[in-house]
Amino acid sequence: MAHDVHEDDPVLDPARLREILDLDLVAEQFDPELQKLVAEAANALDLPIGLVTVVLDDAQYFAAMYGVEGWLKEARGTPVEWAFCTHVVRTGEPLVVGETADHPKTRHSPLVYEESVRSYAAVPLRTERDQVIGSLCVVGDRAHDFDADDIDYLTNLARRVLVALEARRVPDDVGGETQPPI
Amino acid sequence: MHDSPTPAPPPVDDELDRLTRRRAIHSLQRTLGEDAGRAAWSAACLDAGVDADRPLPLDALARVASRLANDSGPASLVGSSLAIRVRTYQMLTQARRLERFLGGNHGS
Repeated sequence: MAHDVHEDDPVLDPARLREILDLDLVAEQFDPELQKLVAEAANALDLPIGLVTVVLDDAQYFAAMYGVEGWLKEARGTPVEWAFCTHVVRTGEPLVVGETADHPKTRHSPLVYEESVRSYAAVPLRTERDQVIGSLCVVGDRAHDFDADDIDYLTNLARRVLVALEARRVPDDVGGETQPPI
Repeated sequence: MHDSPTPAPPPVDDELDRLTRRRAIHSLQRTLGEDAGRAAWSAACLDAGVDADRPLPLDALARVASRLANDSGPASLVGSSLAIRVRTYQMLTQARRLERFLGGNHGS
């Protein structure tokens, strides 16, 4: 795929990956607060899907999801090279794509030409330790015009997502042992 | 009395399986260092009851991923990534759609 990660990619930054572990972001259980927020995002922007994605070293993980069906719901993520959210992690900036089939960062993903993901807007989830661990995003099955108010809305909602995520932080010193570095 | 030799497992020549395994080992070595990464892979394979030195089919890779994901340290992240990748491939294989998603590229 066109957007695989490379050794110097911010996606592989050890401090960022450590942060994902410290926030316990790959837990099996869905956090009800996050579930509520992704539903709110999708409904507010009148789009079928809302997600909190966590970009791991080699896959993206759906820490919360609304409106996702089929194999994506079962897999609860995708290989990293198919994910749009890697671009958000790399830049630390929102990514807004009204028509994914026309955008150079998304058009090569099979999520576009096989799953009919046609529109996408994401804002970064930047933690208190200044690490972008993933994104809050909304996804549509048809082209969609996003405006500045939409992105402001998502940015404000992302703050609430981060409050919920920070509450999961594993203390630096658990049982007298410092967490090992990655 | 001699035990019957254990039949060798059928060769796994699927490129996707081979590349997924190689990718996971590389991730562990990048995360933990070359020797520690290889050791973590071997230990997870041993726990999962599979041969660390052979190509593995997706169901075996899923078991190894589960072992790694249960690790308390950095290897757990590699395990989680591998688990998602393998689940994706399994789901799409069941749906007979994997080839269309990979388009001749196996995530190498």
